Amino acid sequence: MREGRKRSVITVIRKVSIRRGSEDRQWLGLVFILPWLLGILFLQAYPLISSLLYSFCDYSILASPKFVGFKNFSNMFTLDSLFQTSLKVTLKYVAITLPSRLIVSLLLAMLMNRPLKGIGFFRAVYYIPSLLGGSVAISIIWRFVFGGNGTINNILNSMGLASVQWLSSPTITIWIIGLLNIWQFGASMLIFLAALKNVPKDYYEAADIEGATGIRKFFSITLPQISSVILFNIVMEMIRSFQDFSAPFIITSGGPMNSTYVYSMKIYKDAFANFKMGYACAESWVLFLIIGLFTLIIFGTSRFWVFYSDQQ
Amino acid sequence: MKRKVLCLLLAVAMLIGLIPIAAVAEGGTITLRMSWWGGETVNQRYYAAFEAYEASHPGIVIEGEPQDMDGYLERMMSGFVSGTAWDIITVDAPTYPQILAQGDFFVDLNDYPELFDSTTFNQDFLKNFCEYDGKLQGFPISAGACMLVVNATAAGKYGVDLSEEFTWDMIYDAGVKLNAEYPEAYIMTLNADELNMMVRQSLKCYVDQLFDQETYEINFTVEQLTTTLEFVKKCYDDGVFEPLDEAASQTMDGNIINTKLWMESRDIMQLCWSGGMEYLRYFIEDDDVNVQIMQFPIVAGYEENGSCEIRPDKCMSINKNSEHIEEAIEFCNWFINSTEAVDYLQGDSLGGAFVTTATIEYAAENGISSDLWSQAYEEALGRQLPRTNDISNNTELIDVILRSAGERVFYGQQPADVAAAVYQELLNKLAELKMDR
Repeated sequence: MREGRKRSVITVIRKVSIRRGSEDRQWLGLVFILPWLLGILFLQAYPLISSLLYSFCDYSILASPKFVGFKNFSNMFTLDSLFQTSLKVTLKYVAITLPSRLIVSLLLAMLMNRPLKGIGFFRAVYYIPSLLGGSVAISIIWRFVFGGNGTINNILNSMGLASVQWLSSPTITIWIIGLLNIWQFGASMLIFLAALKNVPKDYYEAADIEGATGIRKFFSITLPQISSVILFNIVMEMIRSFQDFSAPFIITSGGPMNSTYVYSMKIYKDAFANFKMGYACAESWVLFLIIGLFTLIIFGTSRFWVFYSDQQ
Repeated sequence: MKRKVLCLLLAVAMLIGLIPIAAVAEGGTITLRMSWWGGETVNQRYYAAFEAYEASHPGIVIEGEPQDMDGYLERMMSGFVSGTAWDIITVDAPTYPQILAQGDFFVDLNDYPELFDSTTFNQDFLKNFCEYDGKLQGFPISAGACMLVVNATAAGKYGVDLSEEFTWDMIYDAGVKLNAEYPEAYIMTLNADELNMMVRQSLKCYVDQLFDQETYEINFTVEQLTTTLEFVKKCYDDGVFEPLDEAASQTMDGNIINTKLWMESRDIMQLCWSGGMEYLRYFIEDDDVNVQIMQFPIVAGYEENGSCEIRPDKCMSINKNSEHIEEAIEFCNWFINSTEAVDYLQGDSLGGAFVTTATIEYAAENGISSDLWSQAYEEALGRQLPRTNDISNNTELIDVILRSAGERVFYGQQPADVAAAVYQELLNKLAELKMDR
């Protein structure tokens, strides 16, 4: 009897200590994720929620916000012609940069996937633009290179060709700024490279035996095998292109004739130059919805062209 | 246990990292933070002025924070919001209404007559640009004017007559003749900013103010805007102005000073504020060239309305929330009123004519004032436009909507269509601004 009671007491003590240990571990876990938790609460959740609230307010940062309902949104679509201009410019910019960048990065990843001598060096070199590309300094250099009396025109002139107004033509300039975006292909190239490395070699060997051409192998093996990575890159690069700011801002400030006045620049100007923070918040939410819509469309269509290894 | 302590320490370290670092004064020293823009030469002169002031005022340290002109206003406003604004703030005069519409940020210098001597300024000039609601929000560092800067040597070479003040029609006639005879030369080069200035000032010849401050209505007519834009089109079509895309692609930092044509003396004249005049002279490759100042061109028939705009090149204000307001005012008084500071204010740091009696006299006696700036200011006084009202300085109206008009015409749209569209956009924006008032 006494033996039995002793055993049950030991069991209880064990259970309590196990629970305590588990509680301790929970506490420890919370401490570990605290930096992330604080970050997401104060740096992401709070701004996100407050920007949604401010989007329904007349708010200039320095004075108290005044609730105005949907006025910011209705003004955007009815009175603000620059809003529509910037939206069109941004869609054009995304249409230029997204496919170009994906194609360039995929082609280079395929090149980097070949067993060349010193390939590690080339991979590093091709990644350098991504380290520099988004910087202010590179944007300024871009301005000098493509300016009216810049490097490119000097080369053209030395060859007896006429100068081209790269940065002051409403039709050409957006392509030149897009080129800077495309030039930063490093990150997506690396992701493609990792995906290409994972494509089983047996497939290519089987295709070789069947006498498939290089193009056939690319479309029938490579593309389907890396389609999930293509989906990832499309979504990430699309979001990035929609939010691009520094290059158009520094190189042309939106000109000529607002042909490079991208949406993020409009948000910035409204918020910090015109002090219409509530209006800028509303514009940000519209951008969020647009990006969300495009992402949904891409994901919606992905079941027709993305293949996963566990699929039948 | 060790792990727990480590976790706690890391968490505390991270929390500390999130707390904004407050400036701590060292051993009773008062630090005044001051902002301005203007480039490296200005920076060096200002730093030298700070050193001189600190030497004669132990315990005061002026911490210079030079900025880029682009985005300056945004950084200033962010500073006010976050409570980290500079103590002494350089302000672009036309932006005062925009800043003050957001709140009362600056010290009223009228409250400190014992520390700041404002009697040394031209009182009209001071009040016109720095006094709002009876409060002296700041003071001008210099007086600038927007004029025509002419390469007289090139004008002589190409046979352009400078004996009379120019109307826009005279510029057109001379420009057509010049370009027909010498296709490599133009009478005038404008970038997008200057084209906007040309359109705006031409409209101002018709009306005192572009927009009515009380009613928020447009004072000029759509016909007047059409006429102005038709003239712009004519100038580009007939080789009077250098093509905008060529001119714009050669500019740097919004300045037209480094265009190839101007450097090679193949461009006769430019519209320019005082601040850029010395640069224009400097950038001409031929050192012996004669540069002159002429009145800003006028629309024929409206000569009596004036055409020259005068305003401070820069102003300076003191942050109302500064912990050391009195020390900041004392420094500003020294900076603008003492002859000692003239040595540091001259040249690029000034960007216009001296504005206080002591500095004007000292500069004249010692020959350290720019002849171009003095001439520009004196000439402009003779045909001065009234001070632009606040709504006519609104950046959304002027720098976004109206600015696009000239560009759209250059890039092929019809003047009448552009005028109608721009006029409607201005009406929409004015209605919106009126509602928000």
